[in-house]
Amino acid sequence: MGLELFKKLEIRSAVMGIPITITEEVIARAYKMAPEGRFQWNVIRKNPLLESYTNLLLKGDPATKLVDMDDNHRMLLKFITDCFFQKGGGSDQPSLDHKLVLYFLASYQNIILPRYLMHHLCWAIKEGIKGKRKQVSCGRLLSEIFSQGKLLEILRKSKLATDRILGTVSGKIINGKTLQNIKIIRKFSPNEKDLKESTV
Amino acid sequence: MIKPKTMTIPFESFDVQVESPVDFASLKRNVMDLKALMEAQKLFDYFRMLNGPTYVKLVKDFWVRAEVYD
Repeated sequence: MGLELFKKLEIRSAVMGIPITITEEVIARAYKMAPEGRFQWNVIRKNPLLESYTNLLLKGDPATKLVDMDDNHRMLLKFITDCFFQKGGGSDQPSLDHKLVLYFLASYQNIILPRYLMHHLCWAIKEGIKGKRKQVSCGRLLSEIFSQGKLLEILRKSKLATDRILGTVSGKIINGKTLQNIKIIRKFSPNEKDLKESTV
Repeated sequence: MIKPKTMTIPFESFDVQVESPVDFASLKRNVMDLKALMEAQKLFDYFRMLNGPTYVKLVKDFWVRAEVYD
């Protein structure tokens, strides 16, 4: 048995003894996404696109508060912080990288989300290894990868796939109530068709 | 051979973050229609994927043994 060949950015681990490797391509396959669009990581303050961010999102004034952005832009930021890159603790201010993601989305430019998620996961794991971060990122995405990679099938055959063993949960839904909570609308109109956590 | 842990933080101290599913129909009923934008940016399949379970214990088991190769 020799050393495994290393080719590109990847995460290696194991679940219940079964080896798992995650790459950008594995993430892209998890939700059938073509890797095309914009990607900028480790953005520096002098990046000229940050001026475009200020012009479009903050209406040209760097002092504009996030709550004073356009409603659609506030929701796009909510998607970034709650659906893509959950931070957990610390500042509510988006990082420079996330500001550019918001700019790309708000200016109708596609982003390479699998590459962003891969870099986010790698950053979070490195922080965890340093003992600096207790938050585990992308729980749902990782679960989908485990599911598509036949891990669950193997566990089911071994009768190890009960909810108690798996620790099954679902995420908090973003819906009309969220708009009320962040004061985009005054009163939320519920509907019987609204998605429920029990059916996610 | 069982892959050893790479993290020293106790297993039970980890907090698994679960991405929020988005109910685009409910947002639309409350006058915020972002579905077309997400479809145009080819992100809708990602949001569809978020409508599913998270296996917290499996994710933690993965996380405490994870290594990055870059």
